[in-house]
Amino acid sequence: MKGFLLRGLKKRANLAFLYLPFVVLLVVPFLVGEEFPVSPFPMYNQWNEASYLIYFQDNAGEPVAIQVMTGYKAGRYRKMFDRQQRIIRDELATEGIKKRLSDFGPEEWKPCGIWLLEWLDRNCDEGRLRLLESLRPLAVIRRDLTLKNGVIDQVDTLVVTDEDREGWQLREKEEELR
Amino acid sequence: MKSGWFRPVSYAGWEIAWMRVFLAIAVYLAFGKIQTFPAAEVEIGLGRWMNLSLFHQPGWGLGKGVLGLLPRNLFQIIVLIGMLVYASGRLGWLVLPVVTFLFIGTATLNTSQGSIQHHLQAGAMLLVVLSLWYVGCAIWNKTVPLRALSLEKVHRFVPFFAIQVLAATYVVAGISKLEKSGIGWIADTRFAPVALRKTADQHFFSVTDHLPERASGLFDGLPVLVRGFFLECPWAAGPLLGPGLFLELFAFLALAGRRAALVVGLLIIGFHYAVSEVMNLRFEMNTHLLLIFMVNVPFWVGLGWRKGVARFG
Repeated sequence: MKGFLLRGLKKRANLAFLYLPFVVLLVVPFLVGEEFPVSPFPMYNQWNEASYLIYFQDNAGEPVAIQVMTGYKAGRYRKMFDRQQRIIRDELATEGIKKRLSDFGPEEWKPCGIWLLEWLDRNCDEGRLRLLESLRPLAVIRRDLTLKNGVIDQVDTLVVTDEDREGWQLREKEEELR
Repeated sequence: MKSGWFRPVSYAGWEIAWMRVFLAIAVYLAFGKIQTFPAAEVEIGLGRWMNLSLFHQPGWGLGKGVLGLLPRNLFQIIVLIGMLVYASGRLGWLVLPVVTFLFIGTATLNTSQGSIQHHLQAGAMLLVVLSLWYVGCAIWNKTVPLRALSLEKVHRFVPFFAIQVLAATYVVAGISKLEKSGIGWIADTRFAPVALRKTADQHFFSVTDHLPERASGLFDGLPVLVRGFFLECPWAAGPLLGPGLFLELFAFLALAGRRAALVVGLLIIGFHYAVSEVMNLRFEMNTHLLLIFMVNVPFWVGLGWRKGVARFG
């Protein structure tokens, strides 16, 4: 009887051991957070009545097909803008200023928009940047969407343009001289 | 191996061989599509210990490349050779860690721009688990030769571990939703039209009118119709999106056996299809892995064929 029980326990222990990857992969993401390839997969873990997106306009005020021009989708720019907002929120918090992202406005959005334009210059191929040149100065636009009484309300706000970047005017003058 | 609920399924050798071949193709295809950047903007994962620029073309460190090949091309060839060797059933303990390192390095660079992507984690984690399994078995066989595991036995556990990785991915995503929003997540799906509209607008601003209008066939028009339906009738989002949460939470049922894996696999693939069409979120590698390990098409086609022959001669 004792031997039978021990054998049964051993078999169950072996089976439990085989499930170790599953158990580890369930626990680790919540302990470690976003550390590729570990992830708690937070996408769409909450639905909100308000959201926003980021897009670009050219010097004529027309929307730029940002994926066609830079190779990167508009969603990627939105995520990066969001991250920059969070960095600013955390910096404000260290200075003792508590502000929610939903309370952010043009003042806080501006450095995020400038960061996006600089990221674009750092990460696009030279050929793509040359193509973009004729569309510049680019404008970063934030489109806020809010669900009100079953209707989605839309507000577009100019966040920043290339002309707001440090050294942009100088660069323009240099181009003219050339 | 004994059969029974939640016990490792006894796969035939030919099934596992097909799985290796398909996995090799899936990894090679996914690796080739990873978008990289000159430098990491955010330190994440492997990027905390090494400069990920190495994985970008034209790359850092290797300068003009080796034998005229740029690092990314070179890595692509290494991944191809590594997965071909793995598909042959030999040297898994050697080639998988190399492929895993290259895959994780490149994918980490992709997601280290401050805009985290989630379409490669499951595949990368599967490579990690399989590498650990093959290396662990190789060490075991060296240290305890009297109780060495046969290569056939080592391969036989691969689908079982692969299904665990895939199931864990979806269960974690489900728990994450519960942790953040609780069961109220389902009620909050009434706000889903805002997310759908954001997705639609983002797609427009990505391509504007630079892409030709697609043909108005059923499969092209359907996502537009579904998106329009949700925008018109926000109340419908809950009953339609809510089950997705339960599908994620109960993905572990795929471990119960062959039939369960088939059903769960097909349901998740359908879920991915709907999400990719309506929300523009593409999880190509996940879908391939679900097809290979959960749906296991060759087995069911073979079974159908045998039954057909037996019945109709």
